[in-house]
Amino acid sequence: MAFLTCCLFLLLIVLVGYTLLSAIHPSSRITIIQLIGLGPAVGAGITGLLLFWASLIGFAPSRKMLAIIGVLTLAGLLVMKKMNRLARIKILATDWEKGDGWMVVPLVVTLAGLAMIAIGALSTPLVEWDAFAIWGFKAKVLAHEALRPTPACFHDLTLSYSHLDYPLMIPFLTAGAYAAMGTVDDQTGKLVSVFLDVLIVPVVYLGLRWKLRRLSAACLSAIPVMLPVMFRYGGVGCADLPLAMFYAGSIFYVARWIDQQQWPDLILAILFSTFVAFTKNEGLILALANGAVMLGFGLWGGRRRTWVGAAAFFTGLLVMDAAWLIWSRSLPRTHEDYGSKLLSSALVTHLPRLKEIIPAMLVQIAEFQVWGLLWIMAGVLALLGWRALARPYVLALWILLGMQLMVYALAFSVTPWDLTVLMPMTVDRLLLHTVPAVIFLAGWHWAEVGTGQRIAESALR
Amino acid sequence: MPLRWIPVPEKQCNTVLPIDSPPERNSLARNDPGRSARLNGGKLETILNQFIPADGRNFRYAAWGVVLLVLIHLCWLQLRPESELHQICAFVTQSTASRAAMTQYEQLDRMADRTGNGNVLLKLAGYAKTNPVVENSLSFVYYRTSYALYPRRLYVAPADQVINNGRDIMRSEFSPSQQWLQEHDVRSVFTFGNDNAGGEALRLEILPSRHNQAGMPTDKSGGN
Repeated sequence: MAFLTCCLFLLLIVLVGYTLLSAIHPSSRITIIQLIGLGPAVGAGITGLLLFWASLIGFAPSRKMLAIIGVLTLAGLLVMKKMNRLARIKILATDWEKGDGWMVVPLVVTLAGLAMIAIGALSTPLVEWDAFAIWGFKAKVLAHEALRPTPACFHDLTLSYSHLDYPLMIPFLTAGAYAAMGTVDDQTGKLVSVFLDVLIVPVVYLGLRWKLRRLSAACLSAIPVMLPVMFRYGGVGCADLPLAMFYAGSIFYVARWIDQQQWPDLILAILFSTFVAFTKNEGLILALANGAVMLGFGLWGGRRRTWVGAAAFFTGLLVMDAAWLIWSRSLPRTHEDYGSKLLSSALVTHLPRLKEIIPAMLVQIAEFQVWGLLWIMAGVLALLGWRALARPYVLALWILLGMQLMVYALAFSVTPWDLTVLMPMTVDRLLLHTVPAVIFLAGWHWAEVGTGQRIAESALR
Repeated sequence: MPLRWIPVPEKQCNTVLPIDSPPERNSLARNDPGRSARLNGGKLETILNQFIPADGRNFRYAAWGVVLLVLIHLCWLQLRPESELHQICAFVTQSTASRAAMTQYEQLDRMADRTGNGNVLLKLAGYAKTNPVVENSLSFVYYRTSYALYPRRLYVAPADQVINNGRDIMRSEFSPSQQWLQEHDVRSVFTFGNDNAGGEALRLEILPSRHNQAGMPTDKSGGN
């Protein structure tokens, strides 16, 4: 019964996502991959935010709350159907090209990998330290108490190990599942974690399919699934893979905005960047980096529409994240407090530590048993398709990847922990966040090698 | 031997090029001497956007080779006995190793269940008060039990003392008074460590009910 109600909660997330997609792309046709990837990803982010906002005004996640969200969603769908604004699903975006039938091979590999991750995750309760000490603990708190008044736990320094100031997307989505189930069952509740982690595949595929044909996109999308690091962290209940998933969506739509300046892309870039900022603390920096790159390319291109878009991005991000930024201001910071340290003079004094950090990151990247040949592949494809550097959206993504790696290296430089202990424990998880950017870059460069170029880009719109 | 360009009839081409395909994919366009300002992919050719002099097909094969190699290598990594995939299989099939790994979680969760109502105090005993070797185990016990007990609490220090790891718990040397225990509804005590020697023992003591809580704790139970 708990499993069934948890599935109903996930169905609600899918419905919320579909409603939003219909609102963003009125009357347009969406592909299957948008329906099963983009919709649920947007739905998950919005549901997490809705539960947070409701909790802020005094309502903890409950079945009643979920029923209200469900009724409002259905009402929205009915209204849009009456106005003929509902997005319709198209089975075939474009004609199948020669050789596309082979995509069944990477598809089987992908599905088998995801199935194993899901089975492994659902066969145990929360056992990863971060999963129960940080995310699972907060999910229990949020399922039990609303944020108004602020639960005592959030100001209890003896719980500092749970990182009291961490954003609450994953805890709220898990608390939503607990509310739907009517009980705190962390083993069944991991279904939410599996759901979010698995979504990285369709979101990455969507980004690749923008420039590549089906077979090439399917092969590249299978790579993140088969990464040992994906099996290590998939479905464990941590926020790293959901962050990577939301980040994949954000950089894809930032790139599309830079390339095409379509308002729906901007809206999705804002939404995904907000979700990234509400998932982990580093997400806020990544979201701001997205905006900075949009602004930079907007000013460079000199078109009014692009820098107006960048201004709209920052405004949207601020509006949607304002409640969290205001509420979390009063929370005690841990001794880590990377946000403050990165903005203080401590950053300069700790710069020499980069001599130790950068080689350690490079060694990790070259760790074949963790990453396979992923990074080498990205480098080779970038060389083969080097002409892609002429595309502003590819340049933008390189800049975003560089900024992301730089921020992580700087965060390590100001950490209060012993680097020799911290880096082996965390560097693979942080580099996991960069996988979508690396895969997109590999794919978009590959598209310029000559093969796999999309015939009709508009098919995905 | 110098290479000569031999025009290939369109019927013999094994791929059909889209209208907007880059000129370098079309050998006829590449050899068109009449082109003064060449276009590449619909855009004016620049340093970054220029023709590839070599045969594009070789590059395409190379790209495919790299991607397939990566995919095959990743599949091979997962087929190794020590792979993450095999570890998942071991958990799912309830192997001895997986049962042993789960035991410590289950024991802590069971002990948390046995505390009944009320909050719990975590005390350190013997070597556990000072020995840094047990820091990690102590952290695990504190994090896991705090998680399992919620909404009840596991106290290890006053609320204004920062606890980030086992070492912080050791430093706190928390020894609350009887009155403090009553005010915080503490009804049981976990004792981590052993006064005698060896092992990272955890014992549970249920405190006597509030109306006769003046004496020493009794009713020992649990432990490992």
